[in-house]
Amino acid sequence: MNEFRLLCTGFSDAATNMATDEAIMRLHKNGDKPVVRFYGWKPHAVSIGYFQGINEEVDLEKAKELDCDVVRRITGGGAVFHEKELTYSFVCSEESKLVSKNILESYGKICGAIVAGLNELNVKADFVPLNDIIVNGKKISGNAQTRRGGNILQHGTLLLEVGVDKMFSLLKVPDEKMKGKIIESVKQRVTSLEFETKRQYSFRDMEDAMAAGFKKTFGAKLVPSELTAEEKTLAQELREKFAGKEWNYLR
Amino acid sequence: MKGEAIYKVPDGKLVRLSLELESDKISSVKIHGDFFMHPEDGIEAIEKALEGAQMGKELEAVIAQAIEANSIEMFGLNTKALAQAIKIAGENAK
Repeated sequence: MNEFRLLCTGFSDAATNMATDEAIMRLHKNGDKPVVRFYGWKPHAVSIGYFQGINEEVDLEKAKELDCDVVRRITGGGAVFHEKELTYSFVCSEESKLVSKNILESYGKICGAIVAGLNELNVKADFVPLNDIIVNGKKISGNAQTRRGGNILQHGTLLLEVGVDKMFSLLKVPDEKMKGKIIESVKQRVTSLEFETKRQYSFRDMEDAMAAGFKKTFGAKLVPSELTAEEKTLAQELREKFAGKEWNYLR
Repeated sequence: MKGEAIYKVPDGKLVRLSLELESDKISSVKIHGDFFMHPEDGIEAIEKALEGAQMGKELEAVIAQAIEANSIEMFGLNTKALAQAIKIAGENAK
């Protein structure tokens, strides 16, 4: 059976979270155990896609007022408000047989673990290319992938509860005059685990279910693990980048 | 002259593009959006390749060549859509 490292790193600030994902990815070598990490965001945060303009996407004054972290990801995709959710990351070598070299297919495989995790909670879910997972026709999870240095990193969210109004107090929209309508439409198109199941879950419940999903999808044993000293040191170094203006205002 | 465009790629993501024109040549262009591009630094290669390009039909070829030369793969964005966003930004330029 394949063995994966399972890292449950709990809640951290945005810069630490993004630095930890990058550190794990950078230090990964072909032949190492693939890594599954679960984490949350404290304080709440907005992450923007690598190609997005920070001023175009985020009301930075509002973010400051609400003590909301703002960070640029190393992955593409859109702006995400992280609050009541479980976030995962998955790292493996591009040479790994577990995941296709084809990017579209690899999204399907890795997102399959989240779909399987939702199934563990008796929630029927589907992967919708490129990067969404839906339940009852509504988005419950967004995912983003990058490939660097011979490795694949995919991270994504699983919404526990959704606060669309709070989200849009922080995020800008292309046409502010249309904001009301956009908010209404997003409310129709986004859902959450608690909304779908009408029950409550602890962070641990979600970790357990998603871990089971990875186990099933990859036929892998998830071995509880800690960040190595090397990973911690590199993450601390990279944290400076993710907390800094140069990176966050890059585009 | 400076121009901007917000363009929703058909069946794709949203591109926000700003450019500077000198007569009908691009002097600089910035491409933002929620699309995906592998490798990510391909974006700089495309922006660089567009510097000095003539507005009009040759844009698609310039973009396609940068994509080819840098083995870029895009999702939610394509050559035609990018050229279209540049065209719109050009029309909005003042």
